[in-house]
Amino acid sequence: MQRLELGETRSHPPAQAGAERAAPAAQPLLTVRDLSIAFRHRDGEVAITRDVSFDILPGERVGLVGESGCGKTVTGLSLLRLLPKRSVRLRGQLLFDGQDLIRLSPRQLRAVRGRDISMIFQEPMTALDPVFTIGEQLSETLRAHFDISRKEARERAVEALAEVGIPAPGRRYHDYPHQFSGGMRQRVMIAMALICRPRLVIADEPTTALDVTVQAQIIDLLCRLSEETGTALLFITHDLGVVAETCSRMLTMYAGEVVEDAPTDAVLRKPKHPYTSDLLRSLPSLSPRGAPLPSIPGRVPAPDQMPSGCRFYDRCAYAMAACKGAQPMQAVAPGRLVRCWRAHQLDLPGAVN
Amino acid sequence: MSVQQIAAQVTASAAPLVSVEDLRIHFATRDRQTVKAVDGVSFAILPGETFGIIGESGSGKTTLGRALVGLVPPTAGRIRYGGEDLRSLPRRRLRQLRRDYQIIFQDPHAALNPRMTILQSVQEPLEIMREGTPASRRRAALEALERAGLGPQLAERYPHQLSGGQKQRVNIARVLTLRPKFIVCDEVVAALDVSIRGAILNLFAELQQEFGITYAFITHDISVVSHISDRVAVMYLGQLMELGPTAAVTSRPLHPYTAALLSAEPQPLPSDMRTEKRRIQLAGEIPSPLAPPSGCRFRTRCPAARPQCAEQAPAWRELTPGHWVACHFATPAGAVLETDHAMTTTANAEERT
Repeated sequence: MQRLELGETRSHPPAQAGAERAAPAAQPLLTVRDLSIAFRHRDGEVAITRDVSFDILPGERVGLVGESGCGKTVTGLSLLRLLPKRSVRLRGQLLFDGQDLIRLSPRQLRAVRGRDISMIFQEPMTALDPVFTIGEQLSETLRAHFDISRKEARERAVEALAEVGIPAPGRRYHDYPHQFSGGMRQRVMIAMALICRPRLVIADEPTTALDVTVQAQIIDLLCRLSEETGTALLFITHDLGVVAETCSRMLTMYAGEVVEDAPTDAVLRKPKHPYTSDLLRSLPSLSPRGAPLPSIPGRVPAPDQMPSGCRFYDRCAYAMAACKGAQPMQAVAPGRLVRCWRAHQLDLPGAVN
Repeated sequence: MSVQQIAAQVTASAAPLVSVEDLRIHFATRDRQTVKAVDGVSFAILPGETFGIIGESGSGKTTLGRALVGLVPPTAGRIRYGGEDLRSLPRRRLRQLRRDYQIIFQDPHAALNPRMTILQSVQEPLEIMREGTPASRRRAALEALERAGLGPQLAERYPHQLSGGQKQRVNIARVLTLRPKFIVCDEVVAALDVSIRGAILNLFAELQQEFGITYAFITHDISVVSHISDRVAVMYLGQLMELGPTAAVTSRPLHPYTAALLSAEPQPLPSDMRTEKRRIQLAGEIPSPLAPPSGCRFRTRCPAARPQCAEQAPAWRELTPGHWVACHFATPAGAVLETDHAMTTTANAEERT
């Protein structure tokens, strides 16, 4: 693969494929500490997430899973500070490479966005601008960050298109988004996200709008490119199968909190939080055919009626009086954190039984 | 497919509830082209069974579903209900018959009128049928809501005050009031979170046992369809590729497309438990139904395509009892997944897209 040689303008050298990831106890690339996101409205504030904390190592692929409304998308958007400033209040720290993204000026942010951290959205059609060719949009990204000529940007854009498997990239460079199919558009989004060789890509449900055979292509492409370029990936999805196939670590979110943070294989085998366990058990592929499917009773509490203790209390089969107290994240094994005080006592079913 | 073949397909069991004979549904586009959404499909649905229809977007599965309840007129071929062709019936008889054949849509919110209360929506079918008195209709509606798992306290609410799962229950209650024999379920759980999907699928299964309802279950989700269906039909570009008992189709698919679909489904299992044969990678995406490929429609993406596939459309044949396939090379042992010169087709998959 061609490596960008733009040392002059690059503030950080491109991650060496594999090298940084292999190093034990590498410094995290991103550290999210006690991130709380609140939406302001006329009569006050609604807290959307509370004290979200996690790390992403260089080159690591982390899955952020949860159901609709759990706060996974706003968490992803907040990392790029893409939430509207007037109506959203961010608290906590977003340490990327030592600098706190929350404290950056708009100018400093622009230098980070698309360059060090980029994003792939669920709907490529709404994320791409319909009135510019995809080639223009790709080279614009490059020229915004690097002092290079149009011709050079064009060449690199064509290379990037070839890299994500777009046939006849030189010709497709001049096409508009509507001339691409859904899967091809998502490939363009991936090319755009990776063209500046960022160190972190946030992918928000990148395959949800795609058919399963195309999803398989895109997942494989994302994994391959992340391995080749050493780019870390935060994979936001509701699909546990996708996480199992792409990520080495899985963060489970429920009602605005991370409730479990564990290596993917470990959590699939033995989840430690009752919500993670219930989520796994409700997958139809893991139940015998025709048998009643497990499901989680009740619904997520409304954001303005969040209990102060465990937020899963009302729906949890293992709830006890003490669950009404505050539930901090606690370590249950090396590299495993759970927001449940009963984690040590419970033996919960996972995807494998 | 001949009438004899259809008769063979339902092998001496009960007369089919719905039989589809060489159904074609074509739409004209603005520039005078023809979209062949459904193009020569034959099958029979037996009373009391759940008939799964699986396919990717653009396969024509939704059009087929709408045709099954008479919402789209066939361009050619016919659909018979208990032996009767709806189009040959007088208006009054059509109205009577039609209430037995109902459909539930994917988006539970869009299917409800936002300005009507839940009770009004659920009563409406009975009002249209002019059945009973206002009091009896109200009673029937409340009963149906109760049966769908919704208490009377929700009856006076509006759709926006309900969760997605509750709204889908309202849609179910709504068709229940008419006591249908047959319900087409078009992606009914696709819009719901995993944790409540199970509860809704269980409800469908219970209603089937209680009222003997027959379902045509249309979905893109293999795990859902294989969980609830007795038989599965696999659709691609307006035609059936395979049809058979669910266990046979999912464990020993006869068509390469079915095999590819099954292997593309991400498995929520730890890495050491996922099947290694993993992924028959399909090249590209579903071609445009405006210009479907000659011969076998799947050949442009098929890992086992040979010259014959472009020249000749494969016959629809019954390879093992009740298990039908449209592929020249399928054997009772399973799908053929490689050509004689397999390397050229699979290795060049990317370029061919």
